[in-house]
This record gives sequence, structure tokens and C-alpha cells, in this order.
Amino acid sequence: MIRVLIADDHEVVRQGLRFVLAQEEDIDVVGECADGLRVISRLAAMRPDVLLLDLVMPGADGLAVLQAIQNGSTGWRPAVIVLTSFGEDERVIAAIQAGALSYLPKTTAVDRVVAAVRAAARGESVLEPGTAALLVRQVRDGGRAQPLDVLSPRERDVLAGLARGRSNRQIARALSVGEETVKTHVSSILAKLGLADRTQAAIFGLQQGLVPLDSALDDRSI
Amino acid sequence: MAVSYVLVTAAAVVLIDGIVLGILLPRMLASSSHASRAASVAQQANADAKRLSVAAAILAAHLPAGTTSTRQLKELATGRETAALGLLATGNAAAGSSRRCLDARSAEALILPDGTVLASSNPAACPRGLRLGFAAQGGLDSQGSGSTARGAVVWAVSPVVKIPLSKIGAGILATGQSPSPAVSGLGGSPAPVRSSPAPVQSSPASAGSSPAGTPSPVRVHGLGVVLGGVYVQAPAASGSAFPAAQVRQLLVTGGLVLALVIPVGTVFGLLSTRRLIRRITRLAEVTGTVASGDFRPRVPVSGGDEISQLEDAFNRMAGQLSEAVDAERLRAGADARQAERARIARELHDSISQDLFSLSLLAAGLRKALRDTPALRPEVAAMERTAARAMREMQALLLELRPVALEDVGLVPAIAELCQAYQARLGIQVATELGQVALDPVTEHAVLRVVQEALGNAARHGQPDTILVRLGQQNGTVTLEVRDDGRGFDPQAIGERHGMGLTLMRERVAELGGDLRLDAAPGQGVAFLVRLPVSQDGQP
Repeated sequence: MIRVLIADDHEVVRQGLRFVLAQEEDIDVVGECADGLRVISRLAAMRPDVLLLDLVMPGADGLAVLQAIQNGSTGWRPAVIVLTSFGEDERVIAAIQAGALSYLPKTTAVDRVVAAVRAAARGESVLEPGTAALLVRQVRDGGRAQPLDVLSPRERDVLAGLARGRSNRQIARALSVGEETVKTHVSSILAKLGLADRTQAAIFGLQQGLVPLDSALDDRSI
Repeated sequence: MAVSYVLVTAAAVVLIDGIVLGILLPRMLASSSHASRAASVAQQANADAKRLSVAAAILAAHLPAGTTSTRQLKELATGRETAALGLLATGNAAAGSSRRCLDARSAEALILPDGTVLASSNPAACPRGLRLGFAAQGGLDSQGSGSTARGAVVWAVSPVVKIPLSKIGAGILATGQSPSPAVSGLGGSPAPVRSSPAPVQSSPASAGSSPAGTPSPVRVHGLGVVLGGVYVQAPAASGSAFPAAQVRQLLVTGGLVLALVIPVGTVFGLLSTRRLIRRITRLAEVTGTVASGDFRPRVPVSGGDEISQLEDAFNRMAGQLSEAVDAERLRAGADARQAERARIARELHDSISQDLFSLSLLAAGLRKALRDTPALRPEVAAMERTAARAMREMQALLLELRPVALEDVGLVPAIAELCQAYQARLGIQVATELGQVALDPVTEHAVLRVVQEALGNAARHGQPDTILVRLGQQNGTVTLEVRDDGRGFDPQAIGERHGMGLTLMRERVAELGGDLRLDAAPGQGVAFLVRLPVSQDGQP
């Protein structure tokens, strides 16, 4: 029997997954969680083989859960299938790097989801063609594995602005673009790098040397 | 404002009125000094009478002893002495008048004690023989005023006295103009006298020179026997003189004019400032409107004065303000639209996408649960297909709503990224042939929207395996082609729902001077062909 833990904040999704997986004789849903912190605290007790993990959750989000599993603080290491909303593919790289075995958008055909659970139990990955292409390109183009490589040049400019503690409005003015555009870039940066907020992004930018630490606050130009 | 103009006008009128009065009034007052004129007339009469008295004294010495005083006076009237004085019958009236500062309307006459004119310097005003009774009444030593047929006059009469020669001192002779030569000239032809008897008012002559039997009007003066008198008359008002009544009338007229000036000035002030005030009021109104945020109104610029400069400057200022605000509003509007699109996308993404996924999970679960119940299998399968199609449409919709940071990356990378997203998320093979094009930002945005719309249409309705996106520029024309191998449709039969997006696309392209062609047939896919003209400098 494959023991499965479902972690998703949408009740309808948990209900659907439980119903589908209940039809499979070799799969046993051992539990459901609606937030990330609960997942982290109960993994050791439930000891699932496979964790179906949503990335967007209250408490700790999916990436935080992955990181907790990776650094061993959960006391149990299940195979993780990220099953997340459509449109989060910027986080694919971050999720894979954080230890996810499979990455499926919530548009995946249901049979593939079931197949992915069985594959994960065997330690195998299942990816949608689009996601696979993304990963292939990443491996091919980003061989140096620089975290900043996932960002576009413009996103790097915005991240540099964040590292200097600038507001969206200030960044927009400095780059001569609309404030809403900057907001889009910031969301994209957070998604691609798997960061929670602007502060994390700023720290990341400084860590990566995007802005020299000693001049981060005195240089007004980006 | 109008009131101040009126006050200024009135003040100016009052000032001018004052100046005019200040110039005229002294002249009026000077010329109307009735008293001074009367005095000068009396003075002249007195002076001439004295001269003639002296002449008479000298003459008496040469006349026979019994000569009547009337006769003596007649001699005097025709004598050289009188002529020397430039007086009376000499006809040298002009010379006389100039000497005595009397004008042509004045007259000086030698009169008998009863007032009869014996000789006159101005026969027209005072003819010989005329009897001036009023002059004789005061003992030939009086003055006064009265009116004659020729107007008001002032007059004075002074007596000519036959002074005994012994009484004439050297002093008197010295003042007289050498009376001796005059004496030799006496005895000329006597002038005819129409003498009329005058009542004797005085006491009988003590000098005893009047012969008996001759009714002689003898009057006795302090010095001697009165022979007659010198009568001087002058118009009470000369030509340039203003009588007091006239001055008063003038003042009343001036006052009336002043009283009229205020209301007339008010009306004139109102009329003359009305246009100015109207323009300023209009400017103030429009300024208020602009201040309250409506930048459309402009003031008409009229004329070339300072106000029109103000109007022109105001219009330019309002124009620039309006442009700045419009630009800001446009930017804010674009930001707001993008924010709204993002919000809708998030809503769809967070709620409906989850529900659709749940629906497809339940449908698939049902299919498996009903493995042994073939009766319901078609319905469950249909349900699963419907859920899958709804999810697919939702994905396409979300892609269409996805904000694209066009201004950052440029048109070609933005299209490439969009195609990539369709390929990655919808599993549709999207091939691209993208050449560099030179378009202005507005057109770039329009092209990107058309690509987005065409891809969305294809993904949602055509279920294609592959889509080809081609962009290129040739001979001043940018061409865009989006072609899919989906089910296609009959362009004649497209309904409202599908027609909407197409109409919007077509309008957008037409606004930029281009055209959009749609090639579609059932089973043969759909092709969008857009052609946009580009001018030499890269602007469409």
C-alpha cells in the first residue's frame, strides 16, 4: 500500500483527490492537511510514502515545507509531488531544487496524477511536457546553476532596487516603467526564487552580491 | 470696479471745471468792477473841469467885461484851449479817448449849467444840444449811473468855474499847459447854441459879472461863478465785461453742468469699462473652472492689449496643465487596467481553477467508482470532458489576462515568452518566426494584444496541435500572422460570443491604419493576417 498525505488549503481539492485516490486499491490516503505548519508537525507521525503538496498554503507554504523536509527537521522524508495551481511554473526550479520529485499543475489529467503517485512511490518523476521543457532549458542554459540566472535582466534590476530597500514607486521611477509593472516583476522574482516577501528578496539580492553590501544604502542609482 | 472708474472720471471733470473757472472768474470780477469805472469817469470829469476852469480864467481876461457866462463857455468850447485838451468839438475824439482810456462808446461833453450839451467828443453817444437834466441837478458836481438807449452808463459831471484871475496861483498855472497862447485864439466864430432857459437854482452871482437882463444860470461855486460842467459818460459794462448777473448765471450753469457730469460720468464709465470688466470676469470664471479640475475651457483671446496677453498665457498654461494631467491619468488608467486584469486573473486562479480541478478529480473518481455500472459511463465521461475543457479554457483565459511587461523586454521577446507560456501550459506546439520590427510603443502594444487574442482564440476554440506565429517587416509594412491547425470555423456563422474579440481586434488594427484579415473554414484551422503600415522614421 502506498501511504499518501494530502496537503492543500482548498477543501474541494482535498475532497476530489481523496475520492480519486480512494478508487485505487494500492493507495491509502492517510491524512489531509490544510496548512504547511501542520504538514511539518505531523509528517513524522503519519509517515506517508508520498506527499501531495500544494505550494500556496497558509502558515508555511509548500517551499517552506520542502526545505523543512530537506534539512531533516520533519523527522520523515516522503517523496514529494508538488501539485499546484496553474500559473506557478516560475516556481518549478525552486521546487525541484528544494527536493520535489514531481511537479504537476492542477490542470493535469487525473490519471496522470494517480500515475505520478505510483511513480513517486518508486522514486520516479512525472512531469508535464511544458514543465519538462522548462527544466531542460534550465539545465541547458543555466549549467552554472547561478540562482540569479532564472531572472530576466529587468527582474535583476528590480531585485537590485529591492536590495537597496526601495519602494515599488521608487523603482518604477528609476527604471521609467509603471508601478504595476514593477509589482509584476516583484511577484515574478519571489515566485522564481521561492521567496516569501520583499525582505527575503532584498536579503537574497545582497547575498548574491547583486548590490555591494557596503554601498547598499548610500548609492541612489540602480 | 466700475464705480472706481466713474469716480475717476467725475474727479477729472471736476478738476477741469475748476481750472476753467479759475481762469475766467478773475477776469469776470475785474471787468465787472462797476465802482472803479465810475470812479475813473468822475476823476476824468473833475480833472478836465479844472483845466477848463483855468482856461476860462485866462479867457475872461481877453473878453469884454460884460460877456455872459454862457458866451464865455461857448468861447471856451470852441477855443484852442479845449482843442489842446483834445476835448469835445475838436473832432479828435480818437486822440482824446486814447489819452483818457475811454473807448469809442464813451463820451465827454461840455454842458451848460442847465445840462444842455454845448460840445461833445462823441456826438453819436451824446449829441450837441441834448439836455442832460439829471447831470445839472446835483449842482454840476455829481455822478451816477443810468440807462440810455445805448445801454447802461456811468456818468460824472464836474463844474467849470470862472475863477478870478487873481486867485489863480502860480501853482495852478504851472500845472496848466501854458494857457496864454490859447487866449489869442479866442474869438472864433461862435457855435450856434440852442439854448433853453434853465431854472435858476443858485443864488445870484456874487462875482457880479452877469449883465442884467440876461437870464443867466448863475451858480456860485466855492471858487467862483459856475460857467458849466464837464460831463463824462462811459458804458457801465464794456464789451468784455461781465455784469454780476452774468457771472452768477455762469456759476449756476457751471453747477448744473457739474450736477449732470456725475450721472453722465457714471453711465459713460459703466459703458467704457463694461467690455474690460466682462473680459476679466470671463477670465476669472474660467480660472475658477480650471482650478476646480476641469481643464477643457479656454478664454477667447481678443485684441492685443495686456488682458489679451493674460488670456493667451492663461490658455497656454491651461493647455500644458491639461496635457500633464492627461498623461498622468493615462498612466494611472493603464496601471489601473493592468491591476484590474491581474486581480481578475488572481480571482479566477484562486477559486474557479481550484473548483474546476476538483470537478475533474470527482469526475475521474466517479468514472472509476462506476467501473461496474456501464449505464452511467457516458454521462460521467461527458462530465470529465467538460471539466477538462473548462480547465483548458480557463488556462487560456488566464494566459490572456497575464500581464506582459512589454516596455521592459521589447515586442519580440514578449511574443516569444507568450508563445512559450502557451506551449508549456497548454501543451500546444507554438512555432515562432519573429523578425525584428520597428514600431512605436502604442503599435507594439496593439500587436502584442492581437497575438494574445489570436492565441487565446485558437487555444480555447480550435483545440489545435500547433500554432504558427510569424512577425516580419518588409517595405514599410509590418505583417503578423497567427495560424493554427485546429477545428476552424465558418466566419459567416460566428456568434456574438466569438465575434466580440474579433471585432475589438479589427478596430484596434484599423485605428493604427492597418487591416486585419481572417482566413477560416471548418476543419481547416484559422489564420489571422495583420498588416500595419510603418512610416520611414519607424512610426506607423
